[in-house]
Amino acid sequence: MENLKLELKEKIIDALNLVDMTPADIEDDAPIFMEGLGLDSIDALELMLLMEKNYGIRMSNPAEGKKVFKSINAMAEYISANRTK
Amino acid sequence: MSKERQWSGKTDGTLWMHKALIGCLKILPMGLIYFINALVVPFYMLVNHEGYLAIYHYLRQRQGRGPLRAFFGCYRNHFLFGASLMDRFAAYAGRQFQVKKTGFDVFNSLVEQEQGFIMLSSHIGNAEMSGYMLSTPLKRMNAITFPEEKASVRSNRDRMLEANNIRLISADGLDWLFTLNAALSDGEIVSMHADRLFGSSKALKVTILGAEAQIPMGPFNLGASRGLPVTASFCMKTGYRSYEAIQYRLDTPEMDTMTKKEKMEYLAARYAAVVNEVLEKWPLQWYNFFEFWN
Repeated sequence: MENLKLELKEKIIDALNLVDMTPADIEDDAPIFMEGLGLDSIDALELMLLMEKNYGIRMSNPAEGKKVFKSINAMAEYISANRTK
Repeated sequence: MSKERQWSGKTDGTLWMHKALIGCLKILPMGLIYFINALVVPFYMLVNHEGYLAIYHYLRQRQGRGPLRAFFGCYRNHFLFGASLMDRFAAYAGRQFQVKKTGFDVFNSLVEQEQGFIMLSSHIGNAEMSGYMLSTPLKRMNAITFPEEKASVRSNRDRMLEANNIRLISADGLDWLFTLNAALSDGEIVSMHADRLFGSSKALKVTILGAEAQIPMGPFNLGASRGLPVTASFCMKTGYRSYEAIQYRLDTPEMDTMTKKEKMEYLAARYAAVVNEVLEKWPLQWYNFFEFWN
């Protein structure tokens, strides 16, 4: 799980072009949107694309999506349970 | 973004006013409606002074008109905007308009492909009219709308557009992003405004009519990161009961070797170029009633 979290952080930094950040700057349980990484709607769509391209997970359910994108911990748990790639 | 550089994007009026208007449009001749519109416009120009000034500045500075020509241009702009709104309600009431299609070979070939595409619209002309007059039976179109729109307007649109295989998605909260994502994954069309910031404050700088302006990054980022075709769509009022619907394809094979950032900027520059082209031909159908340029 720790490897997946690190991989996920690296992919998020790359996909969202967070050039000033390193994986160590992203806390596992910090909120991803607003007060956490300060992401917005454009970034949310990038994260959905990241999930689909890298892990074969299609995000279409808003209620489920909000839980998944709550933190790195939540994303990693969801990916390990649902990934097809 | 400061208040004078924003516009709420909502259609004025209450539910009963919209219902009454649709009722009137079922029985009254359009000529009479336009005549009433012509009488109301001066009052609207006075009441909506910020919007009037924004159009006056656009005609003076971006279209190079003298003070008097710009003033009368403002009147015609407001009249045309009112007429376009009336046409929209007339379409709700079941009236038909003639629509000439230009560039639809591009649109038709994209509709036949398995992958979805992104269709950019603008507050120029009457984009919504093309939705009432043109249907896309092969591919569902998902049109992103501003959440401020009144429920009555939305329900009328829903009813009209569903028949043409068009679904409206209100950009409210985060839920709509999941619907949009699923639509693109399913190979559907997503239509969104590319000249108004919403959902994100990230913007791209482009040159339109010789001056720098900011347009939302989202639509162009979506096209660049997903490698999907991107078109720009306009529906211009050309006569009493006629429109011209125009489609431009913005992505080109040259983009294959570009980085994501370069693709995004390229698409934005292409969009700005077609907006220029349309505004040169129809300068009075610019309906961004706020100070659009930096």
